[in-house]
Amino acid sequence: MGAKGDSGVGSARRGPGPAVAAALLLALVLAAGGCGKGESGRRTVVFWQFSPLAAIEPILARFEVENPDLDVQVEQLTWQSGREKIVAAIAAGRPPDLCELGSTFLPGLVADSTLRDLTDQVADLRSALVGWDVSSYRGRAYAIPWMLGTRALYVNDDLMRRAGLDPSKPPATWDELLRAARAITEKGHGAKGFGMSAGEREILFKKFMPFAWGNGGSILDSTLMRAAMESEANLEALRFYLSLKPYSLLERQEMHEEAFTKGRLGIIISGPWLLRKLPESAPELPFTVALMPRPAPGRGTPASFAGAEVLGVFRNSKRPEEALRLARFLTRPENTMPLFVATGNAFPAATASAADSYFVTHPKDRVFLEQLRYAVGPPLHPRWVQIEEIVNAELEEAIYGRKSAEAALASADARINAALAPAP
Amino acid sequence: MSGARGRPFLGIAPWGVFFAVFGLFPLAYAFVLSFLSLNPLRPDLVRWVGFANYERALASPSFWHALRTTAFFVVGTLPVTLTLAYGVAALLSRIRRGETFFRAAIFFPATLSMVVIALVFKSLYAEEGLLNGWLAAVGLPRVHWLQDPSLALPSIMLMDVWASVGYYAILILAARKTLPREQLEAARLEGLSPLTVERRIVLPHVRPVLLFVVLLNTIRSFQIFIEVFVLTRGGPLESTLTLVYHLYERAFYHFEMGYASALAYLLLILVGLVLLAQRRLIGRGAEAAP
Amino acid sequence: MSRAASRVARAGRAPYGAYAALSAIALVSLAPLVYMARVSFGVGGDLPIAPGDWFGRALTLDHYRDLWSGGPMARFALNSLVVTGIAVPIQILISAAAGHALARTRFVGKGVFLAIATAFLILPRQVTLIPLYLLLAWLGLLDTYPALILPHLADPFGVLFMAHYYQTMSPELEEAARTDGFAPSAIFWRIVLPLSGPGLAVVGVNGFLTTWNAFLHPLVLTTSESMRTLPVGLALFAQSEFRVDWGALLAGSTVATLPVLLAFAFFQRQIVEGILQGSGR
Repeated sequence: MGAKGDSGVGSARRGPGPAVAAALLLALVLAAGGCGKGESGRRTVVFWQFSPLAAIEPILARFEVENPDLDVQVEQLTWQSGREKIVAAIAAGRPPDLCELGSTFLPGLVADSTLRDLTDQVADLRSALVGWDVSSYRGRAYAIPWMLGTRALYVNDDLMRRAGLDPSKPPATWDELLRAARAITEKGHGAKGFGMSAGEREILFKKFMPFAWGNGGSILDSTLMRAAMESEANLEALRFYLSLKPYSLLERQEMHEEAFTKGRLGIIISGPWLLRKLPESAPELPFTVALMPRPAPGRGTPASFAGAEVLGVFRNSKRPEEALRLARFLTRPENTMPLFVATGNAFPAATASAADSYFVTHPKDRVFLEQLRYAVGPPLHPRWVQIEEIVNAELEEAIYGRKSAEAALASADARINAALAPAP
Repeated sequence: MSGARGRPFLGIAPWGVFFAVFGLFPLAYAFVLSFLSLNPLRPDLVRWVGFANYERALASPSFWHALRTTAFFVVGTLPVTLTLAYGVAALLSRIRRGETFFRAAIFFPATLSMVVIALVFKSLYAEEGLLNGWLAAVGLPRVHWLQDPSLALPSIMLMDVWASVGYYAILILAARKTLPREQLEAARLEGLSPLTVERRIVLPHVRPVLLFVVLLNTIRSFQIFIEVFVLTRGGPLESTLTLVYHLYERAFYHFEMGYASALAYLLLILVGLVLLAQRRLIGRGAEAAP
Repeated sequence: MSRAASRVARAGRAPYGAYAALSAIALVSLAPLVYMARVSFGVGGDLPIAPGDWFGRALTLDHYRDLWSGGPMARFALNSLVVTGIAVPIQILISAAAGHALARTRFVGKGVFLAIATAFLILPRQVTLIPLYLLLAWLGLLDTYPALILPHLADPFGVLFMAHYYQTMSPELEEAARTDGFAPSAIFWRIVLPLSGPGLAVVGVNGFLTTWNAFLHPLVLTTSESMRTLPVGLALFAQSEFRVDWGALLAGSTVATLPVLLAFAFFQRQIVEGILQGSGR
């Protein structure tokens, strides 16, 4: 290679260090530039929610017109990971001002006083909206109900016919459900009668408890201080539920829907979203939507699971007043209805919406409205996350045949009471 | 190899700076967190609990169950993945024409995000899914890939092997390519059988990278989360409850950030020990760093 | 013919066994791609199960069309490109520099250093998520490109890999250059780097994949739609609370995967060239 000291060769020996460093710095600076946001002089309300932006933005635009001093900064969350995002934001002290929350996420938030007590500020909305029991604890409202969801029975008419049953009379009692499931399985050429949830432990109680609730059973007693799992009503319901197993497809919810769409499953419990999917994926499939079955003619109620999307304001929200204004706007029937029509997931909580002409032209949706009247939600209890875990675990054991119905309920009772015992 | 001092810091510095800020800080933060009781929703109520989180974990049946499940997963996938990857790399190094195509095809699974892979396999493994459809077509009974508590974990393991073999095969192939061709030619001329060549010449040469692949796959296997999150949520009957999934549930469902951090550090210690053991076993002879 | 010559002649025969095995492996590897493609072209996002489903049904471009109109996919793709395009080259360089330094020198605390770097690889991301969030919030970098880029630059994978890689590389050339008076950075830049082709390609590909497919961190560290990367945008597009829109999701995934495959195909040529160049034979 030769002599040192010669400037030509020496420059080859000197490194590119400085040049590289400069390039890196430049790149980073340029990158940092790609982020400026404009200022508009209005006050900003940060709103996090789950609907597609295309659906919610027109509604927010109307809000901004009506409230020229406010600017809404909306963000769409994913169902899969919305939780992490919300938790991280709260942990960092930067929560959104208004947030859409699912009723299953709610209990943990209420327990730790993360949400503001809105009871006094929303007294006027009490009669305009339904679903306050899902967002209240001990009489105090911690969120505003926005949309309500429930599940009903979907029945495949063809499979009913093939099983020798009349499709215009979907199962209305437990007996009829069992009979239909059995008949379809036996005569359905490989199709199964009922879709039973498995492999998704976190929703098991949502699938089973409606039967218990319809029979007068419950998870906790009326004081919400002790478990009530070990009751005759619950036992009867669980025994019935397990009797469906031989005629059921044990799978996850979406696979049930997939099988139903393909005409390979006779009866499933599902929500209004399936009404949007079926015409697209299986336009020829004849099906009926019906209320959940009662325990017996004239006894009990056709109870179903009630879920809700609610609007909450966090403790350290920077603009709580403005957030409430937005919430009031959003819960108006004319603003919630378009979201329902767009996403088809949950119904407006506004009582006035029931009279909307949409439900005249969409009779199957009307069944869900009717079902909402009998829908029950889990109690908004501070220890709900643990209770839910216990109930789901015991149910799973029973479904997989590891425990008898009695043993599962007894075990659930004992464990829940232990979890509810006052903390040391 | 030479004992130059002082100079490495120039080379390490650029990366080191980024690591100090975005790597070291989260590490240290999580470490401190493991000695606290923190509900992320109420950061103002944080309190010091010393080793209580660690004690709780070691006494918790769920922790040990998760540990066992994860260990089973690692032991079940590591040897299989490694052997397959090595074999595929060996096969790839033997062909010339079409190598680009085969490399791309074999590498393909690694280009997909794990979320997508899990979703695709979700529909493959469904009771009424593609795999069962094929089984039914040839008259075989349906397999409860994800619904049977004893099959769920193996099904996920299978998916994981499929997803990772290609990636490691390419890594090993890259290492094989640094072997001077003359050495291989000379060996062949000497009349050595391919297996002997493999054992005596190739293997020692790629050993560092092989060790690296083992370390990497071990780390990855201990960390599996997305697969469980998408496919089984830890069930059925907790048969797929891995350590990281358990940790995630504690952190984001029960809001026990401190406890989750302790679990993470226990995982860290465990994996660290495993890696050390592996390095001792496999790294013999390789110029592994310190 | 002499024994040696006939052996050489035999060695030149095509390895049919290898081709057969590789074909089978390639098939298994690509099969899901076929599946993905079929579903993405299917009507209503149906999952083809029975053999009849595969060919009997109508095909459609709807999902791909919806992708385009369903959201600012172009913006998401651009963001992913910018982030990956900036992060990966930087990652390659600093990983090679750090890995080389680690491989060639001894220093006090090296073991501890490596242990900590490895520890970062082991620690689950769920636990580092919140500290990272806090840090970026404090730096005022939330919802910006740096938030998406900087955490990747801390990734120790490349460093550890290049350290191993350089261990298999003989240091003779470098030592010769040092005695000739070359500055360390010149040695690195002009001698070591050009020889690191395959290793750099590996780090590059790994970095590309990790950055391109990253989901959780980009999701949490950004809030505005204009900052979303492709995987996050896709997830939002294809999701609803209770079901996966298979057609949409797989169409999106196919589109998201193509750049990665193309990049890998491109890198492959670099690998070959790098080898030919570096070996100088």
